[in-house]
Amino acid sequence: MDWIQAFLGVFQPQVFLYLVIGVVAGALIGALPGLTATMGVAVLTPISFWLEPEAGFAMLIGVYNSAIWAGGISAILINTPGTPASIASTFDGYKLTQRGLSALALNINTIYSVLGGLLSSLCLILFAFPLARFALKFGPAEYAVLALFGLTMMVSVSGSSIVKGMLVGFLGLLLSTVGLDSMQAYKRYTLNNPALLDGLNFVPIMIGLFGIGEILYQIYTSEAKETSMVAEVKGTKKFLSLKEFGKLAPANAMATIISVIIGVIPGAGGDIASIISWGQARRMSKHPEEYGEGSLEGLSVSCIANNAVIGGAMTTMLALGIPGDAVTAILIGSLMMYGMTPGPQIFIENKPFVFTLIAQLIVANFVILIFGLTTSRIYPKILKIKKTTLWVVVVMCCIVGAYAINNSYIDVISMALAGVFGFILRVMDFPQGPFILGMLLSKLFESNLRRALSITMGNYSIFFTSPICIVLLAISVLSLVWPSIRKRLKKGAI
Amino acid sequence: MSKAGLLFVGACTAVALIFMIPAFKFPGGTTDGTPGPGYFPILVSCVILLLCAVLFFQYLKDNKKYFQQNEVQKKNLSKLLITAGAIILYTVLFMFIPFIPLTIVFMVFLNWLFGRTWRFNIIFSVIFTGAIYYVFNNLLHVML
Repeated sequence: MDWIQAFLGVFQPQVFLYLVIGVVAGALIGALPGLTATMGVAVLTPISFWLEPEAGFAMLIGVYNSAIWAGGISAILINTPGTPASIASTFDGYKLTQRGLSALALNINTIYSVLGGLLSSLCLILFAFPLARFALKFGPAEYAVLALFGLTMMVSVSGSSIVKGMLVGFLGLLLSTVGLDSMQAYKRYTLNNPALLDGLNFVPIMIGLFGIGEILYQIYTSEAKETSMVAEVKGTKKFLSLKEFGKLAPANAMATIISVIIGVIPGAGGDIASIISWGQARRMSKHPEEYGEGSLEGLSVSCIANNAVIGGAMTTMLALGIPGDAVTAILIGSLMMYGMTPGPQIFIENKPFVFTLIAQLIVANFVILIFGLTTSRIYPKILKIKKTTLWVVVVMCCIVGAYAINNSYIDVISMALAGVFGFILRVMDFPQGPFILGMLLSKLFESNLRRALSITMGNYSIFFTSPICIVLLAISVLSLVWPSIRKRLKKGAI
Repeated sequence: MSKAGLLFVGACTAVALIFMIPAFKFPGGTTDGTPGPGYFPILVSCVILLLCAVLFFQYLKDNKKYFQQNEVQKKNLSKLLITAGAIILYTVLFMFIPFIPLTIVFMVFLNWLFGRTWRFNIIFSVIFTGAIYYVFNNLLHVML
């Protein structure tokens, strides 16, 4: 009954309209190199606050799924991934385009991305509810360690150095201490400004970091002359035969499992999943020599992998309140703005909304399937839009979007300053994800840490006696020291 | 080590100290062992200071130049600084000047900076400003 209501809710005219708008916007954002799914969701988040939660989230879910799928379009047509998640699609996709099979490649991208999205939604349905039930057993100590676990996992997979990731993550934790203290309502760092009592607003900072920061970085690093991107959709063969589809099934099943697991790990997104899946499928393939030369299997695996991450990322986001990637970090912020706290409690307090979210995820994939298969001819035209035009559009959307959240000028200024900070992080090779995660997890971490200590009269042993804490702490420590152990192992020092 | 790396580590150290020093004056914990409001900022600041020290020695040990500009970046530096300055100026003027004229001027300026033709520049700036105003002001009821 819950599911029927959830699906009926998605097909309400307003909700479905915003879902379609999200899919179309996501397709534009994903297809254009330089605009990422994270940036798209960040920029459109303020608009979603002016809608009913169901309609607002339908739009964001549409953008998220569609942008990841559409990233493969430019990867296939012009050998430039539209989003980082589509890097592996360039390996075989562009080769197929060179061989005059771009129409087939684009349809493989659409069909397998949708398949990845649907299969990972199934995993979300299967695992989110038991995981949330399990998380209900968590006490303050477990929650505090879980927050630390989320942060360390994101740092360990963020690509940059562990120290840099940790530094940025802890800066996020520190900045979130501005405002009223959650246990004693004491004013911290508010400079006697009532606007700061609620703390720094997370959304404008996130828009600045991922929107303005990214645009400033592109302005700084772009070649003066923009090379025109010539693309054509060619080929008489447009779809795989059933026999070919069956042949590709084992590799794709493996890629889906790998990607859902990677999606669960905080910070590990579609880029990591698709590269690992592509590499693993090549190792298992009977024709590894075809990989990178226009292999249909290689392309399908990379396409299914990047969208299959979404279900995994949303599982931890909904069940534990820990984001699987940067986009789900933004979605957590949006849920909080709507007065809902992701984690096991949301399955009790806002259960119908959880069903609605999952239903939206499934319906969004079907909308992408129809949209993707019917619009492939227009992408070459979209790819002709100049980067400079996009820069101006994104800058304006960031500024007006930040203002629209609360009609507050402080939000606009903090967004602009966060943009400059985001640019500095990019240039200095510091990851931005841990900063946002630090800001998000700060309250969960601090309040539960202090609550746990109050239960034990200040005794820290509580963190080392609970089995859940011990396991989470062990994984956290291992994830942080593993890169240096691996380095030493490679050098033969151990 | 590069000046930029040193500056960044220095800035992070300063931020940690700015948060840590006042936190010592916050009310203390309760007698039953519940930590006070200063506990968490002090704890996090200490970790940041430790990480800054590690990063400082890492930079020193590597002795390589971080943040070294290539030719493209050197060429784009002035454009970057002007854009960043224009965005900050726009966000400040946003409080005082009506949205439509300010935004048209801002967009014309950015398009000019990015080398677009005047024809495109003016048509795009006017239409896009109008579209944003319509969507936010009329559809979403944001007071622009």
